Order: sequence, then C-alpha cells, then structure tokens
Amino acid sequence: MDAQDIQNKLESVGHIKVVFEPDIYLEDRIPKRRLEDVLNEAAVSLRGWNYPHIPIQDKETSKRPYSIGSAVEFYTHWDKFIEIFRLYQSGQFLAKTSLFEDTLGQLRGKDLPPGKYLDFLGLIYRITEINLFISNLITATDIQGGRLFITISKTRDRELESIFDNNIMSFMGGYVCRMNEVEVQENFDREKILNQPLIVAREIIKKIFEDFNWKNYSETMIQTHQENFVNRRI
Amino acid sequence: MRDISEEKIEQILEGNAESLNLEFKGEFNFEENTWARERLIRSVLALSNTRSGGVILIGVEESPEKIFVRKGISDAYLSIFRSKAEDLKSKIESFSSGPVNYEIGVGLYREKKFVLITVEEFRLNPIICRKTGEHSDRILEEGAIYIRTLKDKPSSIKLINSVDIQDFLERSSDKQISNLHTRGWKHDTESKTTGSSLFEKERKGF
Repeated sequence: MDAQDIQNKLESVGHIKVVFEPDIYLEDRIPKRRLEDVLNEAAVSLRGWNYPHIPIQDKETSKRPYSIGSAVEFYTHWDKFIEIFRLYQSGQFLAKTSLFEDTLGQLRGKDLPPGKYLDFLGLIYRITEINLFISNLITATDIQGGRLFITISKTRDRELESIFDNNIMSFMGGYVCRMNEVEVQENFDREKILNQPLIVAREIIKKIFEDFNWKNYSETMIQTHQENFVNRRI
Repeated sequence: MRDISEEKIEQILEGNAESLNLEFKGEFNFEENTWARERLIRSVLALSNTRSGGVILIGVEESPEKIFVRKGISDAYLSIFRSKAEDLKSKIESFSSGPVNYEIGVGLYREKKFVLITVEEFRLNPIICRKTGEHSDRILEEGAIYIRTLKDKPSSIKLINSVDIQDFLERSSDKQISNLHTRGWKHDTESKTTGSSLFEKERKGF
C-alpha cells in the first residue's frame, strides 16, 4: 500500500482535508532534517490517537515520515483510520483524515451507512485539535500567522448527529447539509492562534454547523465540549 | 521545569552521538562547579546561534575511551539544578546580548534522570557574549559569538571559521528580511509570484 492507495481510499469515503498556509512563503523556513522533530513537538495528544498521528514503524499499512523533496509525508490505514499528512519546509501543512462515521460500518450493533452522519462532538474535537496543532506548529517555527482551509467532503445529505456519545440525544435528522462539500477558511496572526486557539477553532466549527443548517447552536455548548476535551475529561 | 517523556529522551539518545544540534553533558554541581556552569552557559549561547537551535542533555558523560555513558543525574545534583533554575536564567541573561529562548525539562530514561535544555535559534539578532566569565580558562569572553560546529567533532566554539561566519551572516540577514516581511514589506520580485501560488504549486496533486 502506498500514498496513492491511501489517497484513493480517502476519495472513496467522507474525509476532512486541512491546508495550512503560512502568511509568507519561505522555501527553507524549516530545515529538512528538522521537519520530523517539528511534527513531534507540535502533535496534539488529547485522546488515544495523536493529531497528526506519526507512525513510529514502517508497516504495510503505515509509513513513518519520509522525504518527498521539500516535505515529509506519512500515512496510516488501520482500523477506522485512513489518513495522510505532509509538512513542507515552507511550513505548509496538509492533511486528509477519514470520517470515522464512514469507516466504522457499525457502532454498538447499529449500522452506520457511509455518507449518512457527521458526529457533531467528533467534529468539535477534530477542529479543536487541528487548531491546537497549528498553534504548536507556529510555536515551533518562526511562522507569523497564516490561512487555514478545512474542507469536509461528501457532505450532501449528510446529517449532523450525536452518534458516539450515548448521553446526548439524537438530533433526529434536523440538521442536514445540502452541499457536496463544506469549505471553511480562517485567517489569523501568530498572536491570535497562540493565545486563542479554541476561539479560532470555534469560529470554524460554527461555520460548519451553519452549513449543516444548524443556526441556533449555543457557543457556550461548543466551548464546554472544547474545554472538556482539552482538559481530558472525555 | 516541564516533564520530558521517556520516548523523547530515547529519541535523543538514539545513535549515542552528539551532533550540530545536540550536546551531551555529564552531571555537575551547578552551584560550585564554575567551569562546568560556564561551559553550560556557553553551550546555550552557541545553540541559540546555531541553525534550528538544539538541545543539551545533561546526564551523559564521555568516558576516556570517548564513549558516551548514560549515567543520568543524581538526585542531589538534580535538586541543586532545580533550585538554581532561576539563577541559570539570570546568568544566561547577564552573558547574552539579547533574549535567549530556552526551556528546561526533566525526564526518566531507564530509571535514570536526565535534564534536557531545549534552545531556540535566535529570532532576530544573533547572540553575542557581553562579558567575560569568572573562570580562569576564559570559557566565556566578552564580544565572542559562540556557535556549534561539526569541525573535528561536534562542539560549541567561538565563531572564527570563515564558512561559519558566512552562514551566520546570511541567516541573520534572512531573519531581518523575514521580520520586514511580517511588517508588510514586499520586494518587487515577490509581487510577480505570490506566496499563495507557490503554496498551491507545492500542494498540487494532494
């Protein structure tokens, strides 16, 4: 299995694509030999699977960071995880991670048809950890700010739902996206992402909720779930 | 001082060799051993002037056979080091011409304790030693610029080699330009190929 196989598999399921562009293009911002160290320094570990997950061994289904010229690339295809990442010497970061909602198949004996759901809590956690990672990446480098693009694919007729947490009532199909994909962009400077990563994440989460036609969400609710997540209370 | 994971120390010890960005040091009494203390400060200044900064791992001694031995740091010396962390900060500040960004951590590796000092490369202006140290070996000298070098063996030395000076000056001017960029300055040539299109070129096909 190679990177192209991973890309093909990702195209077959719903996934989240992340593009982070630093504010200024500097070809050699990060020395090539430092790329893996920067990734390790910046990775976010708040649940059983880091973001980004950096394999420590080469296997058929995963590869440790390897050079592709001006970047390192690494990937995993294991269990519900299908993901591929790149960090460039310019500081540009790219990621594609599968939606577990599409790769699990079943949860607690109940079928999870691919393309049907987007777990709202999983989305809050994922967007939060992406922003914490970007904040850490900026800490580990001299990047002064940048633009973050997050795209969720295969969103047409997908329902925002609570499927992983038993304690939250079903949304009963109330919030459905009608677009093929949802793309959100957020710009920030170094100070903002370093000091307020949860607020930046919240802006993105809110835009995604709105594209799923959920308008009356509570910002405090999102903030509470973020705080539970970052304080490891999940 | 923050906790350092065993995995991180294992990564650093992998290969059991120093490099441009990695220096090993044996344990020492931070309060009484002026020679070792000033050498540590020199290493911090040197790493801050070295491309990408680096780390100093205290607890690894070089044997007479030139083999690095992972002895760790004793509780007594660690306790002195912990109590003198603020003292180290003020000493570094007193020797450096500008802010040196570093972080100290302590971690366990195979039941031995190690101190890890992670030093960032200077952000804008290189670090110049601004006074001569107390030790008679003149480990720290006023006006000197210290860097890490791979010449002969990895070590922290005074900047005298022409290649190192050239690299050092280029890095310094790159940082100044980068700083001007962040303040909105653009060179004529950059308006033709914007940063965004270069980023797009990089990610084409992903």
